[in-house]
Amino acid sequence: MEKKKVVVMALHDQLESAYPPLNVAVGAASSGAEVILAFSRRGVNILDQRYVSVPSEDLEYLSNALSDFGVSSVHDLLGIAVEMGVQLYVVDLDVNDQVDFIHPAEQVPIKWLLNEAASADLFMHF
Amino acid sequence: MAKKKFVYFVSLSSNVPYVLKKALKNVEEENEVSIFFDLDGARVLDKRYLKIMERTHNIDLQKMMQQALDKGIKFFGCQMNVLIADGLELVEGAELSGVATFLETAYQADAVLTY
Repeated sequence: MEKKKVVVMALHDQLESAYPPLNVAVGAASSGAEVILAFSRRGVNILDQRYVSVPSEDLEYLSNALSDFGVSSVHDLLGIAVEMGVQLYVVDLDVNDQVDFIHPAEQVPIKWLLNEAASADLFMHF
Repeated sequence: MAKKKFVYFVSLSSNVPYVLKKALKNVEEENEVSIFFDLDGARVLDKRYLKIMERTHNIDLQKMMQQALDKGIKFFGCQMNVLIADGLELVEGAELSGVATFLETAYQADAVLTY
């Protein structure tokens, strides 16, 4: 079967926005797809060593639910993604000097990323 | 016009009424629609939550969801959803699915939209 190409973009850093792109990336990689996981705007904060996943207002219950369910932390899930060969990228316009990357991520222009998305079997942004 | 396949991925329950409106419009135009509910979005698949919404916010989500199901829109709840630990009382017609089902559906879709 032809290898699928999946491009996933994380635009936000709130807990409820951080899990979906990681879950899709890990799921796609585990099924043998080539996966590009890109971070832009506030999503780039997920890559920071000091990142703590905090849910949006009124969604505080999700923190406890995730913990009770025994779900991996966002950074653990990111580590799994990297181990599975997911390629990490950041859109260079959105990186500030304070980000202390937990995993190496190549900086790319948004145009490069959108070209990759155009040739992908699946493109999603969260 | 050729029939199109739409996939909605909803992780916020507050976005569900809007997504349902869009989805119903799409099926009226004879397109195929699947909606995947994850995290907070999956709350709407719980019968108890729908009752609370109707009581406290005067939103008849249950009616809209039934209308969507009757028109052939497929509802999928994330199999690994954290809310299931609390005993999700799944609405009739919805099914649980894993990421493999989502990917299979999404690869065949003309549009995958996230809310």
